[in-house]
Order: sequence, then structure tokens, then C-alpha cells
Amino acid sequence: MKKFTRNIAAVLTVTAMVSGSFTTVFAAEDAEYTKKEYTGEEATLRFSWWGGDDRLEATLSVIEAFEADYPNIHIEAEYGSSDGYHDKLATQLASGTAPDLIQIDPETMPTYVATNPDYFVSYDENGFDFSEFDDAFLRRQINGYYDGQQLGIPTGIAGPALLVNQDLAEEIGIDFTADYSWDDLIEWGRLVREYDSEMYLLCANKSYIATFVFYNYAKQLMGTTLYDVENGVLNITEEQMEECLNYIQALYENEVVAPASYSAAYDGDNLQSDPNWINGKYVCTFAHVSTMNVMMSACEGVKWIAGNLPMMDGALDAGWTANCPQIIAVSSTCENVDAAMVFADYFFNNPESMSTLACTRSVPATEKAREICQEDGTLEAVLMDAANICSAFGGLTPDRYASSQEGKAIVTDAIETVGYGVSTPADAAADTVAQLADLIQ
Amino acid sequence: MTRKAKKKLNLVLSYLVIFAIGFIMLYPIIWMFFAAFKTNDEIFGHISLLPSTFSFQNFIDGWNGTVIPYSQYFINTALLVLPTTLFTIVSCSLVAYGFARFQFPGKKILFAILISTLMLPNSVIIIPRYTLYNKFHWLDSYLPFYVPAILACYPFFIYQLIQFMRGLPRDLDESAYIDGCGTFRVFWQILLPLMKPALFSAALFQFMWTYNDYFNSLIYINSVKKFTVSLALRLSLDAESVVVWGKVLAMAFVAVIPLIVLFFAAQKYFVEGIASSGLKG
Repeated sequence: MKKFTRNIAAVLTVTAMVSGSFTTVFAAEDAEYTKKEYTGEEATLRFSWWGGDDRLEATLSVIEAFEADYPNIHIEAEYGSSDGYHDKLATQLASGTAPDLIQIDPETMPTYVATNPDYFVSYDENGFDFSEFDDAFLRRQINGYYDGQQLGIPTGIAGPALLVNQDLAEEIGIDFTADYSWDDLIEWGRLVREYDSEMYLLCANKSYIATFVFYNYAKQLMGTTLYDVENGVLNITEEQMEECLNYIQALYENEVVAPASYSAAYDGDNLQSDPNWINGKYVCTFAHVSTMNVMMSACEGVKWIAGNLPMMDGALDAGWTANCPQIIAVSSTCENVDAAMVFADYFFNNPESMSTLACTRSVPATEKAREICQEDGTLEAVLMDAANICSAFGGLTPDRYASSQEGKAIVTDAIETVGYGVSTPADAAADTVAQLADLIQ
Repeated sequence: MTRKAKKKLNLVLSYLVIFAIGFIMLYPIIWMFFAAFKTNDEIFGHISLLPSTFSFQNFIDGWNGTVIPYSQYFINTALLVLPTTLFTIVSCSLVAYGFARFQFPGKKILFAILISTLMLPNSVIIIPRYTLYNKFHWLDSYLPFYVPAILACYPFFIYQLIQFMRGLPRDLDESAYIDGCGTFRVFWQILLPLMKPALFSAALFQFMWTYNDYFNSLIYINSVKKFTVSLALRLSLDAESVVVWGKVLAMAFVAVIPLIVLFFAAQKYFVEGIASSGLKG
């Protein structure tokens, strides 16, 4: 309990520091930006990323402005869909044909670094100017920091968020702005069903229950991540797994979430297609900070707020943690690292780029960029609040086995069997722990 | 009820059933067409098939693209698909001729190897192929599609054509030889015209598979200016962005038009080719 109180105190302190536009945590010097000199030979850099139309337009505009300022450096844009992006990248990295600058999913990056630590060059060793970034946020593995070297730069602040239909929540008598526990969610779920039998408290599918409920519940319960990566052992016991799955079963049985058979049609990041979400039949949903705008735009005319995140009584870890939506890395096959560093500097540190890129890669990672976006009116308050809330928790970062595709698939399958009532939490726990243990061998 | 009336009723009922099944099969395409006129709200929030308004804005915006217009993607697709299909047909029919009509040392073993490669899934050969093409400096070009087609790397079509050729009487070849034809002339002037249904069917399959192929195009092509339609259609899909589905569906509809037209235009050969190559031999 003492440890938890200490954690809470730390969380509150960080919250206080973070609130008010991150003024302390993300302290940045209000210095004028000086463009980096480039006197090297003519260079062509390949830059690959995935994303929608807004991100495409903004990134191409920055590239155009960069090429006008640096006529000796030409950027070849290789953009595409997220569908198959990392399959292609894995092939390219293995064959030495990867682009020079690469946008990477932060949860996939550990697999690449584990496969070959030399796939990417160190920004630190190449003198990248990180003065705009907050060290506490930057120097974490999930944000591209591996073995004392920054191998990637986080493009923004992401992490878990609870998007709440505030008017509806108030009408039913639910307060997501105060602290609350996981058990409160069950109770509130019942309240919502009594209020309107067509409504549910939480819009979630099996993938979201795995990502947002299971992993955070487990961390708060255990005080560790699922695996002890250093010693190569599984931390979670069968009893702990059963407790997590018991809670997930309670979410389904108490109709806090829609039946598993209903949400199966909107799995993954497709919750915005759920007609009940579009018609305002949910009080809230878990989302990533970077996907909140998609959920909000699917259900317009609603007063959205970023709600607080649930905390277990006697939690051993805060669970919730901020990360980043993408990382930009420079591949070690890049023939002109100096030119790549100049472009990366222009991309991350130039105020004009910050304004152009705005929130196309979630809430910007630097305070200066956030200030610029606020002045431009491109950073919505609800996104900023969500970033503040998840940053303040400071829970453990998921380990690389738990966040791998295989690890997630094992957990999601367990949730599915419990959700459909095919397995009891006890049976599913025994099976899941055995599968997770096999994963590390 | 007279026999004539009964017959008529049966006919009407049969047509009704056929129409109902046809409608169910075509419904996804019909839905896609009408959804191309809708907003996201209409697509996901309402079950009505017809849009509230018929505006072609989604088609115009979709065609113009964010950076590169769809006309470029269609040109690229034609540049990739048409030569690949042509090369496949030429090379596979030649190899099939060899296996179907000639005796040579190791024929059985070579045929067994050929057929065994049919069982290799694409995911197994993609890495060695990629490495090889990289060494040849073929990446980001259409050569990874052209060269395997030129070298008859499609055992499915070879097998299909061999089966068809086995059904053509050898007497035709022998008569041609007696009249003074060489082996190539027999192939070109006697067998090839008779193989038209099988060739059409193989060409249609290859056209469709290459046209729809996403993974290989994704892996081998890097430059957006060389993207095919299948890659372009997914460009604006992203979980972190608001996708204007009307635009995507409008272009998806335009993208299936060539396949639909081709299928109906060559339907006769398509069915004939499959039926005859599968049953004879």
C-alpha cells in the first residue's frame, strides 16, 4: 500500500507538472531555430511512412519546403498503407534495401532491434539536437531508446485514452473525471443498461479489451509486465491470469460491453464503424490518443472529454503509460547519414515543419510543437487532456514478448473464448499461461 | 393446369430463383456502387441501399487522388499486367508443348519438380526471390513480374495447358509432319489455334490474379509513381486518419470495372477452357 501511495503521489506530482501545456515536464528553450548547414555532396534519401491523406499532404509539404532550402538533398517519398507495411520493412531490413528514413511502429521496433541491433544508426552518435525533447519521455525503449542510444525519434505522444460522451455520462450520473476503480466500471455498466437497454457503457472489441483492459489490469495486479525479459521467464501465474480473465468475463456478463458476437464485426481499429457508436449508444470507449479523432468524427455533435483511467485498489503498478504512435529511424544502410540527420532535424525541430505537420502524427512530442499547434488551432484540447492523463500514470512499458503479435494473439484468443462463454476463466488461464510460456522458449 | 402452363410456371419459377441467386451474388458490387455516393455517416449509420443524394464528387475526388491521379495508377497497372499476361501465355504454352508432345531424358523427374513447385506457398519463396531480385537490381521495377512470366514460372498454367494439349489428337501433329511441318510450325499453326479456349482461360486467370495482387506489388515496388491500382486503393486507409470511404469505394468500383468487362467479354472461353483442360487428358 505504501508503495502504491508513493506511486500515486508521484503520479499526482507529474500530473501537476504536466497540466497547463506540459510547461515543466516538457520544458523547452524558447530559442530561435537555426537551420543546419549541409555542405556535403548531393544526396538522395528515401523516406517511407504509412498514413492517411492528411499525413500525406503535410509530410509532402515539409519535404517540398526542405528541398527548397536544401537543393543538394532530394527526398524520395515512399508512402503507403499500414497494411503490409511492416512485412515489407522486415524484408527490406533483412535484405539491406530499407529506405534511409523509416517510420516504424514502436511496438514492432523491439523485434527489429532484437533481430539485428545494427539495423539503425544512433541519433546520439550523429549529434542530433534533442534540446526540444523532454529526456524523461524520450529516453524510453518504447520511444526508440535502446542500450543507451536513441535509435528512433518519437513522432508524438500516444497511449491509452478513455473518450467519454460527457453529456450522456452526466445524465446517467457517471463521473469519469474523478478517480475510480475497475469495479466501478462494472457498476456503471449496470447503471447504463438500466438507463437504456439499447446502450452499453463501453465500446470495445476483443482486441481493445486485450490492449486496454487485460494488459493494464495485469500490470496493476502483478506490479510487473507479463514477462521478465532479462531472465527469460513468464511473470504472470495461472491464478493471476484467471483473475484478469474473471474480470473480463464480468465485463461481458454484466453487459458493460456489447456481446462478443456483436463486436466481432468491428474488431481491431474498426470500432468507428459500429453503428451503435455512430448513433451515440455508448457512453465511452477506450482509444489510442492518435485514434481519438477518428472515433470523434464518427459520432459528431457530442461533447467529448478525455476521462480518467481505471485504477485497481491496491495496485502494484500504475499500469497505464504514454508511448508514441510512431518512431522515425535512420537505417544503417543509409549512404549519407549526415543528410539524413539534417532532414530529421528539419522535420522535428523546425517551427515551420511543426506547424505544417501539426497533429497528423498524434499530439506532437515537443512542447514547442504543441504550443505552435495550439496557436494554429490544430491541437484539440481533448487530445491534449488525454495525452496529459496517460503521461501522468507512468506505468510499466509492455515487454517485447507481451507486445509482440504472437503474444497479443494468445491473449486475444483467451479473451474471445471467455467472451463467447466457450471456456471458463480457469480453463482459459491454464491454456494461455502454457502458450505464453512456450512463446519465450 | 395444362402441361404448357405448368411448363411456363416452372420456367418463371426457375428464372425467379436464378434472379434471386444472381442478385445475392451481385449485391456486394451493387452495394459498393451506391456506397460510393454516400458519406461515412450514411455508409455506417444507415442500412438503406440508396444514397440520399447522387453526387459524383467522391468519384472526382477519388480519381484526382491526393498527389497522383488514378489515371497514372491504371496506366501502371496496364504496364504491369498486360505484358505479364502475354509473357505467361507464350512461355507456358511452349513449356507445355514440350512436356505434352516430346520424350526427352529426365522428363518425368522434371515434370515432378515442376508440379512440386506448384505446392510452394508464395510466403516461402518471397524472401529468396526478393534477395535475388535485389542482387539483379530489379527492385522498384516491373521486372520481378515480367521475368518469371518470360521464364514460365507458373506451373499451374503449364499443367493446365499440358492437360488440354493431351486431349488434342496426335494424329493432327503427325499429319502436319507428313506435310513437311517442323516442330515449331506444328505448335504455331496446328496446336495453338486449337488451344484457344485454354489459352484464354489461362490469360484471364493470370490477368485477374496479377491485377488483384497486393502483396507482391507491395514488396517489389517502392516508388508511388509506379504503384498499381491495388496498392493505390489502400493508400488512404489508416486507423489514425479519418477515411473518406465514399472516395475509396468509388475508386474500388472503378477498379473492378475492367475485370467485370473482361469476364463477360471472354466468358465463353473462360468456362470452356476450365472445363476442357480439367476433364481431358
